[in-house]
Amino acid sequence: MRAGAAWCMKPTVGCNTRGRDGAPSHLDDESLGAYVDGELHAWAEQAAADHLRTCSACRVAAEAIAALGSAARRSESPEWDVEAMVALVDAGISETGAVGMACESRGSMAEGMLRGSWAGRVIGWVRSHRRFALGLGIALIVLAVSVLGVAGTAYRRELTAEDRLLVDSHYIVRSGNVGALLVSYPGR
Amino acid sequence: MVGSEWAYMSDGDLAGRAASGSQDAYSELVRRHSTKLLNLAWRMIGSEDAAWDAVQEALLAGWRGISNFRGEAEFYSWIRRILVNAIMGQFRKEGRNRAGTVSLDMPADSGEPGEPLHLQVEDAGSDPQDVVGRIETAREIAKAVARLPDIYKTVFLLRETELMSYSEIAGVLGIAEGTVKSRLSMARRILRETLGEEVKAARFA
Repeated sequence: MRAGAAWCMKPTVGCNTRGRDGAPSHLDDESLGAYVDGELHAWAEQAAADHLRTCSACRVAAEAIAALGSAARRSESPEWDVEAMVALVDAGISETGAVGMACESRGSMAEGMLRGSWAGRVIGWVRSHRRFALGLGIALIVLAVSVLGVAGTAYRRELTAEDRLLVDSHYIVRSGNVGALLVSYPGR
Repeated sequence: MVGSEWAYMSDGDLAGRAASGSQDAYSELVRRHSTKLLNLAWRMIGSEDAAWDAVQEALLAGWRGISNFRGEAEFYSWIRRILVNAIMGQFRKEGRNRAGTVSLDMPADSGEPGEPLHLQVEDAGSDPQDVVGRIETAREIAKAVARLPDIYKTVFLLRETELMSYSEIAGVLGIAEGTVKSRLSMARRILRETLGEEVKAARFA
């Protein structure tokens, strides 16, 4: 439904539109706003435009409404960390699961855990440097395996000759629910 | 698919892929629209932290409901509707949604409670053009908007910063177009009077 033209009677100078009693008439606030917003019917818009051509008071008021909106659109806003938002939403999705899965929102929980924390920043960085992060992850895995291998070898080298003899002379037999049994091998 | 390739896809295509389960596609939508959503939420609520929470919740709700997005509307319009509804629901919970609390002296919700409006106006006449035309930046108007009662502020912001039609606003808020028109008119009147009062105060200081 589009707004029709409504008129209010406010005595003001500079207006050539007259009401039935001869006093100057003006567009009311709602209609003036609807005119500025382009929300009047064509016939009402034409009537309002005709009025504005002859009424400086309404013209000034209309310009003020337009200026107010223009200023509101220009108003400053904070700098937002969009990548952090992407990371938080990703984290929330990982918790809530697949598309269309109905569950209680856990955004606050994810936000509470991650936003502003090192974990949130790490996730954000990983998302913006995916390839590098993948390479780094693979390098870390290779490094970890190597360290474990070296450590294992060093441990084995620490076995005494007696330990080796003990290990070599036994083998493990698994028997039902009894558990592991260490059985002597009499031949060695 | 490499991240940069998502950037060349339309919102509709991305939403379609997201509905098929592509989280990367949805992330691209989040990347594209977060700033606009955060700005709207911040202007409505007046707090950066609360705006952040509201947008995050809305985006998660969007993911859960992305399969309901049919593509008849723009993705941004769809997710904005979710956000606005969530914020209005929060206002209702907090009892902030009453028009009866209208007061030109009410403290700002913008994190600067009680801070008086300061206009860069040396001299101003009584007509609205003088009031608005002499303000050097839009910051003063933003503060005045932040002080509006929520029901007026919401309609004003949806119209003036989101450039939504009365019909769209009515649809999002679930109110009649006539109510949109009257609330918008009230918001503008309060802003005009608020700014006018400050101008008068500045002139006699």
